Amino acid sequence: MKSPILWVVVGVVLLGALYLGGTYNGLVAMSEGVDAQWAQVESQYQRRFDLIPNLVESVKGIMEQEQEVFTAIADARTRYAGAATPDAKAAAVGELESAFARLLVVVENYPQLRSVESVNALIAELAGTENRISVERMRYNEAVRDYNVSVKTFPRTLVASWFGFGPRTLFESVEGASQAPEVNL
Amino acid sequence: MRTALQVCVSVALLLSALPVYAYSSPGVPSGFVNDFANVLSSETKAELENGLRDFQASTTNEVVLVTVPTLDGDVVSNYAVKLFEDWKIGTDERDNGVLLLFALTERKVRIEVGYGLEGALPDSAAESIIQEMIPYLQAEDFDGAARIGIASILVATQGEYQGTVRTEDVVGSILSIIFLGLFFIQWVAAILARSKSYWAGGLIGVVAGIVLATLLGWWFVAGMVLTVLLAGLGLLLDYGVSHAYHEAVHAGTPTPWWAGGGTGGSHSGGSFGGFWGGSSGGGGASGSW
Repeated sequence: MKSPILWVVVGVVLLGALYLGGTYNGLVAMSEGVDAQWAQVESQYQRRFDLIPNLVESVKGIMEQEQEVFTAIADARTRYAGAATPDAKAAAVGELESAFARLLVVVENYPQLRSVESVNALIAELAGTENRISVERMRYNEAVRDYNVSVKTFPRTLVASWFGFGPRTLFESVEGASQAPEVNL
Repeated sequence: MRTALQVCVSVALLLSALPVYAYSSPGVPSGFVNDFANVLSSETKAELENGLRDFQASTTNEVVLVTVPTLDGDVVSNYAVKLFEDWKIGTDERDNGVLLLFALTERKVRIEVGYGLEGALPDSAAESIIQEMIPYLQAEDFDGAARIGIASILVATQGEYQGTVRTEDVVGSILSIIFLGLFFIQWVAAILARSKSYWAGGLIGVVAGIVLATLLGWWFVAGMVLTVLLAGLGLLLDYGVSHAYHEAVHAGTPTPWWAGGGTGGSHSGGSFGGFWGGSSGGGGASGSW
């Protein structure tokens, strides 16, 4: 019992357990953080999907010949609501973004809309929502980046693979994002 | 205004292509009014500072005015979010901060609204406040723009969180943590000073380091460093206090305050202590003049 080797072994085992526990807890916390941040992105998506129909309703009467854009927006919205997988959701969001960008371009062609107060308010709300989406997406990517660095660097990568913590994917613009309208600053 | 929306949409779309903007902090807040660009008169600054302090005292909302000479290549919406994050405007619990930002070189204005005030100050309301300010900004009347902008923000947000003393709770809890910490250190110091050994402090440091690292869930290396640091600190403390205590006892002078011989300590006040940990998520509106 008095052997110093025994104490050294006990000490090493204790430190090892401490390290494992700390690393595991840290990885769980980071992974949960990534999920929570994605939920923030999705709640802003939902807000956008709730606002856009209001805008569409209030401009529809004036923009009668632009049915194609309205249909595209409505389709994307239906698809988002029915999307089961994150990929399907992302695709629907991409479609909506390109259709919405086209709507904004055509809105420019209807100067009489400027005098409609509800249209102005809705556009301000949507501008705010777009900005929130970009903020929450940026924070999501920051959370994923921190988590991935943690999962991929030695020696934590060993613990991560034992407990099944794989790298997560960064948010990237989906198909159709290249159709963003020209920005006139 | 629609161009502004297009900019926002495009920024959202291009976000992953441009992941890093060049935000650099303008400095630390010196109060509710921070005129880094030097465009406000001293009367306006003093008046707004007092008004905003009173407003915070009665509603707990933290409304902050910042002017910067330049955004250094950043876009105003990103700059405002980062500055908000940096300064943590609003209370931790309610996220009830608002940032009004003027960027002189870029001629941009932004109202950034904390999560907790998005209901009281929706983006459309922020947008109309910006529209009210733009004529003043175009005339380079920054005092006028600041006054009208702040006044409208206060009117919009005054009903949201009324008459509570949340910040005093925060002050109280921070003070009590500091007091407990000081009390604990004094207690340890008093024991160590009376003990003959010079190494007990080091042992206490090791134990405290391991316990702290475990509680905080720190990584192994950080935990080790902390433990070694605390052990060293403990040794130093023990050596220092034992030495001083014995000298004081020898000389017959009163023992120092930490050894349990008397009272001491003072409060320093006056300087601005920063905001309370609020955050924002990109709500609000931007404009240019």
